[in-house]
Amino acid sequence: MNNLQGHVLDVARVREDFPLLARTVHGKPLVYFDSANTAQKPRVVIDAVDRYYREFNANVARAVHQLGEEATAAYEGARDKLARFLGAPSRDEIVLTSGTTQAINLVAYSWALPRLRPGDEILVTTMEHHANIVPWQLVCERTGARLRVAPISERGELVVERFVEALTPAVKLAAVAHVSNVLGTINPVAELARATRRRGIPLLVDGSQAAPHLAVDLRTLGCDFYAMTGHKLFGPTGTGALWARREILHDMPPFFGGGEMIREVRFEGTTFADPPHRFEAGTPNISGFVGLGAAIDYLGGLDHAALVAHERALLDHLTDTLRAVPGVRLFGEAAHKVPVVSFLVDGAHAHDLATLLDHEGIALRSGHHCAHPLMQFFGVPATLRASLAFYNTHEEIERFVAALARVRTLLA
Amino acid sequence: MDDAGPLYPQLVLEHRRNPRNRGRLDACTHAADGVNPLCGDRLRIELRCVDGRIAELRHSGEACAVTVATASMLGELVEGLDAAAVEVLGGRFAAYIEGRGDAAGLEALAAMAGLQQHPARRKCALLPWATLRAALAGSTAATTETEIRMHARTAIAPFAFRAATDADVEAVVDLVQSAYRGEGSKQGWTTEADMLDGRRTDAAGVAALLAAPHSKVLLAESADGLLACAHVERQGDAAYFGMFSVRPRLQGGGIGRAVLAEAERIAREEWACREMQMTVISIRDELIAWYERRGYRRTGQYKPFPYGDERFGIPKRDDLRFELLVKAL
Repeated sequence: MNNLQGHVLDVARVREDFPLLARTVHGKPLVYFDSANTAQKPRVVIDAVDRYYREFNANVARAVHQLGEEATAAYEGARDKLARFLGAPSRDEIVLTSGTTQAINLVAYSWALPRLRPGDEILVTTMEHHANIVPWQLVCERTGARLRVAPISERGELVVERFVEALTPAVKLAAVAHVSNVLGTINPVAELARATRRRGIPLLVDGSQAAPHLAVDLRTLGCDFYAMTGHKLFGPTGTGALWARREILHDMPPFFGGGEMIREVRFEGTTFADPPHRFEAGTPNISGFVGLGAAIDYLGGLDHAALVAHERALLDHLTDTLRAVPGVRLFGEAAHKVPVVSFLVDGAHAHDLATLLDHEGIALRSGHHCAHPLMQFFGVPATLRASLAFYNTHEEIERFVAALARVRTLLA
Repeated sequence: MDDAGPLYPQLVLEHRRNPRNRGRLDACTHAADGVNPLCGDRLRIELRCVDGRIAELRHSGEACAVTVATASMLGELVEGLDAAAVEVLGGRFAAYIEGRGDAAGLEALAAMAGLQQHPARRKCALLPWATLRAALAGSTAATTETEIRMHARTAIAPFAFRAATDADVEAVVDLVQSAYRGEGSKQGWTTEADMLDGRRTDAAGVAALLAAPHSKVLLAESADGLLACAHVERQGDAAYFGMFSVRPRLQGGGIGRAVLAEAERIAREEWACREMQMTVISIRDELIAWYERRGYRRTGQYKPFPYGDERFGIPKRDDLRFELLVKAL
């Protein structure tokens, strides 16, 4: 990748920005390989949350006093930052949510539920997270619609032709992960969106795992809904967003009722605020979004090309090293990936390895990763998953692989 | 590496490497499949109970070291115990791994102390207990979430096998009659009410079976009384299986399978028989299919139905005959 040459991330300096990375676990320096689960937070995020509570804690969009003005500015500022970060045409198309799960459920209940009829179909893929399966199953149960599944290959790539073939007139919505949380596969969303748009089928993209690694640009992706979460993007938990085209949001009825989302309330009837506030009933996670705004600013201050180059080098290093270990089975060897590697080791249970590695200071996830259908596809109950971020190092990969070799002998 | 952390002391790793009582039982009185939804691990526990006590336990299935080691240690601990004693130990183990109690009476399972610091892995150790309790309760499936999920049509209390004596004749006649004749038998699927009226057997018939040499009437019994019975008799190299009856409302819960397996065990182990034989009314396709799923095969050899001998009932149709089924032991 020539365009990445000359872009070098100063990882040692970056690591200093993340206080937690300096801690030890069971007396060993922490190796944090679980960023796809939740990412660690840079000091600027922690400080922003702290400063909000110390200096301008107030409710948003209600108070006319100075504190309220400052809190509202910071909270709405996060919406502006998210809009810019995602390349959204308008800030009013960004609905702030508690995360991806709430964002997808908002589409399920407010957009899909009133529209779908018996015989209609929702198309997903084998590699979806439960958050992009279960809401649609609930909609199907209540409307008589059916869930269809576009298959993946053994390499863990979406079979695009099969996805396109499945876009029959019965399909009223397609819902696809931008990046697989288990396999790391980057799906060709722009290509899929061209196919769905040609057929007039709305496309929802689950961007949870993409936003921390890729430069997301909604203008070029061409999808109709984009759901993301803040805590994997180095921001606080309980933050996230749904982006949808303005005309779609305008046609969606409210999901939650309460304060903030109204224009006028009378007992004879209530008129609702315009999007996005129509969907933001109640006092939101103000401190969380103040922190998420700080996280987006922080990422904006990094050289993104250098970050991508570093992550690609980490992925290659980790993949090549693990592939060379006898008895290791890798899951997901797509051509385009983020640094997420799922694997199993012959004769050793995923949970035992995860606990033993934890004792070595290495944090990674074992289990089904909220993706039962994908586990069923590969015929395994669980995998181990090492998920890296730009703050990880090559030296950590070496420590991880050495520790894996040691703990394996215990279970042999 | 000597120090593998608190969850994996040498004893746990050793039990994981060489699990005791691993495998399956040929003839079990109780069995249950347990699932830990956290990781998808599965564990099967099979028991042979005698007089309400665990005589043999086997565990099988794919699971992590914590689950396998716990099952291995638990198997050694509960041998000879009844359901109530297992309940007490299970409660004590759960309290122990949560740091709420000591390891008194838990023997090797004291090595699971590391779970006090690993709450995320406690379910791995509770899976064998949940599965054992489900098996003893007569359920066939368990998870660590709901403890016991009933899959059986009817819950069956723990039961045990014994051989019938003269004192049991009346109860046996009633049971056989209830399983095959009259409206009550239609609650189960072994009914012959639409084919036959009259008796299936009588007190003299049962007493004769008890008096015969190499002949046993096997009873499965719980605190509620007689649940099932069967007659098994040695005839040279083969054994003959008959008078097989399960209380109609308990049918479909796995108790019949256990009775058949116990009869096969007696024939094979006590009498060294090489084959089990039985005769089934040839038009009872679903019953023949049930035996075929348990390894029996049709022979195409038929015996006439004893028309005119009312000891076997009063036929409602004239096309009844018996087919011989056999299984190598």
